[in-house]
Amino acid sequence: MIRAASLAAFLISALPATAQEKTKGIVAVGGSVTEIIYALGAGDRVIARDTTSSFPPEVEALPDIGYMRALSPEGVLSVNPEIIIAESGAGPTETITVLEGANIPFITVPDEYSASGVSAKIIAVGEAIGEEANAKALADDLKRELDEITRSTNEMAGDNKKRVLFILSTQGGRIMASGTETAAAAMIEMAGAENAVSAFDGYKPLTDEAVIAAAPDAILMMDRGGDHDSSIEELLQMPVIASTPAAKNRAVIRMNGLYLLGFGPRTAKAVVDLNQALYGG
Amino acid sequence: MTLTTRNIHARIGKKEILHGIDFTARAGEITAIVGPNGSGKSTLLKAITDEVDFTGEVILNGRNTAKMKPWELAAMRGVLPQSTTLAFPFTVIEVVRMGLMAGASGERADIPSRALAAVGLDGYSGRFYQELSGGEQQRAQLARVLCQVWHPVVDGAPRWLLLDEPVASLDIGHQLLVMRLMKDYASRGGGVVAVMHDLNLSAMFADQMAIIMSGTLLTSGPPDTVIQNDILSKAYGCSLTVNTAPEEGQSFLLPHLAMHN
Amino acid sequence: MIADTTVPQDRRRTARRAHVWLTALLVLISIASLAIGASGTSLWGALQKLVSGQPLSQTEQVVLWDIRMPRMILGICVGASLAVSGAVMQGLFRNPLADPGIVGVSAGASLGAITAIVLSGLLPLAAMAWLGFWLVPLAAFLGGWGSTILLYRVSTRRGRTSVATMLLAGIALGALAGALSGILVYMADDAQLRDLTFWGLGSLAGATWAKVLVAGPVIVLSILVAASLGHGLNGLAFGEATASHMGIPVQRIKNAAILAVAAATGAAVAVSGGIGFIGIVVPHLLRLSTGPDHQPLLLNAALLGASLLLIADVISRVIIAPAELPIGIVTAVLGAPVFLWILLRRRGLVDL
Repeated sequence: MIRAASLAAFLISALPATAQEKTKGIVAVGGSVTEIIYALGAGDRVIARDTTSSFPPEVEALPDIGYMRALSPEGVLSVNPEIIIAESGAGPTETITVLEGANIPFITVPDEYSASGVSAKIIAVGEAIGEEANAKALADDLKRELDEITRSTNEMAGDNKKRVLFILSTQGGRIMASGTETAAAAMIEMAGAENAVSAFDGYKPLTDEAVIAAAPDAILMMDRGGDHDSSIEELLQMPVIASTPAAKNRAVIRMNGLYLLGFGPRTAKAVVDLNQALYGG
Repeated sequence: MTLTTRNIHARIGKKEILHGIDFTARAGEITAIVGPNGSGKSTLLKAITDEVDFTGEVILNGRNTAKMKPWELAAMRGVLPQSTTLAFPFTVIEVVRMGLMAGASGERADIPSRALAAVGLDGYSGRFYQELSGGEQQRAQLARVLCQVWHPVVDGAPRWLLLDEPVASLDIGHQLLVMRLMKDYASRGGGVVAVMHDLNLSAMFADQMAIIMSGTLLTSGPPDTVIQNDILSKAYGCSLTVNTAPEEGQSFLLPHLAMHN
Repeated sequence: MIADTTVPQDRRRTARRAHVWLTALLVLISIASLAIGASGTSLWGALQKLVSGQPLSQTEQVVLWDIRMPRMILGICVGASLAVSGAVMQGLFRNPLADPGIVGVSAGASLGAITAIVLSGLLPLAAMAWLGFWLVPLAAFLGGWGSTILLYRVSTRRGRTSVATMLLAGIALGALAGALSGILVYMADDAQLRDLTFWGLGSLAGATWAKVLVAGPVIVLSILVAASLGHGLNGLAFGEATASHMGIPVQRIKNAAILAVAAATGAAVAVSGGIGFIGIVVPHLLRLSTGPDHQPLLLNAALLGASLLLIADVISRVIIAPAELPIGIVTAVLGAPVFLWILLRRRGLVDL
């Protein structure tokens, strides 16, 4: 909330400058922010990115200033940024303070897991980099598209919505699953399915019994690259997973983490992909 | 000047070990505290040095020690415990030098090496304390204590050596060396109080002996009054025969193989 | 019996000479830490400008004055306090493996930090706005200090502190703090978990003048108190009774040692997070090279601890620049092998 307030103050102070000439030397912090900047055609103005920015592939060639929640002030300054645009949660506060002291705007864009949230994020990024018109168009298109997809997927599924369990990790046999109010939950709902766990919010470890009670029809996971099939096999062989309907149908869906959970320009496509993976063509 | 205790009751945990001891040692003398195992002789010394809980008073050179600061006490008396474990690899000279810093002996830089020589450890100064044998460690500690109260008399007031079994782990040669050292300290006006195990050595060197039995002072006095068949038999619970060496009239004990009935 | 290890030279002189060398080292490294960083800003260029009366560019001013300078000072303070606290704890507990963790500072500080990170969302907005980034350091300091005082109270009866009780109670308190932290970790969301991990790895990246001004005096004062305890800690090496017979006010030394360590470590951990290894490696290195006498040891520990932490910090900020490696990783990666090497090479000495 405070961030939102200070953000507003920033945007106002940043506006006159951006309106006249386009800022070069953008540091993009946060995978979705980076994607949005590229989608707005300003990719050539990005000079550095954070660790979570991995799309489009060419950003990987840019200098990496570290993890978005643990940025070091001199590291950021060393790439000579003119503006830093970050997802919410970037920091720490000390670094932001020092950067502000160096007269480098540090703009944090709002993040909300919904169609209007994505469009607000795009508009905020667009305003920060002087691409208001492009941003407005992209945001409106995306919002319309997402609303449309959400409506049609939910209509199609009707009362037979599949129950989907999003598993963040299975470290040490402990299943970390998504409850409500997460990006994963929002994606599952937009794709016309139902989040199998609604007892808590955020990501929490799930007991074996809770997994069985959730009775997921499908399991959704992030694709960490590497050996695809063997890890699915391993998952299905975990006793608690083996007893779920999802395991019986071998319904395990893996999607790239940033693509699935990023809430950026590709989100509409991701929803469609997820819907197809769940319900078939 | 004396070291005097008044009505000392000392306890370790819940058990009372000493039941009211009035004890006096004079400067210029060696006072040996003897008694059987578990009689409380070490506890008496620990009460004098405030290492156990006790009631009663300890008067050192006319001052109540309970009212003195640690550094005032340290300037007046050195205390040698039965054994000392030392953390960290200090060398012998470093150990001994700490005695010098502790007491008000003046900053005489050569005192530590003289103290080492006095206990027969010259040439050991660069050795690690923890690598010494038990007897060597004890002598190194004695050298440290000597350093602390190097001069037996300061400003007309005697200083004190309070020693808990100073010769217990020494061979006969070093036992004699240390006993002579104590004698010399006393003869120069200092006070020496030693808990002793060996009655013969005590009889040979001490000016006064105090026998502790079951937490009380059984008797005290010059060795020839204390080293008596009946007293020792009572204190140690076995019969002992006191003999006298022909030349010097020195009393000594030889252990008996058979018990008298 | 005959040819045991001997130390022929007077180690006091070696230790005093070390004061000079280590001071020179610290000065050198401090300059390096001002000169080296991810951005190309040159200390010499800036100095030349200053000498010739030209104004500094804004970047130069920010990088040198607002980033590197407070970071250097905080690094010196934190490194010195970790090393001195380690040496004092080892002396007090007569154990070369003791560290401030023993008196509950670390467990308490991390519980405080975790509480602040996880529960800050529950605070009223006004309070959050007011406390801002002070919340975590403040909570860490209070947690560290508070748990030490608690432990100290538990272990002190009739004016005497039992070091053994403190050790055992410290283990119990540590377990309790760990459990409470566990509950909070369970409640934490994904982002907070990330923050917790990074806090635990330590960093000087958050150094600001404000932190220097608040934590600096606490640390400097506690180090001064701790550094005055050398004679007393030497005496305690013989055990408490003997120390007292040597004229050392044992209880007063214990009070001062515990409070100074709690304050210094609490403040250091609060501003830098968890940084391991300095507190054990530095006193150990020094004891091996200049002997265990605490009087020169404490000062040398402060100097060497500060130098090593600054070196680690320089490495942490340039090795994956423009990103930064948490400094706790650097100290452990550098410290652990060096420590092992010393242990293996001087195996005999360490057992002493």
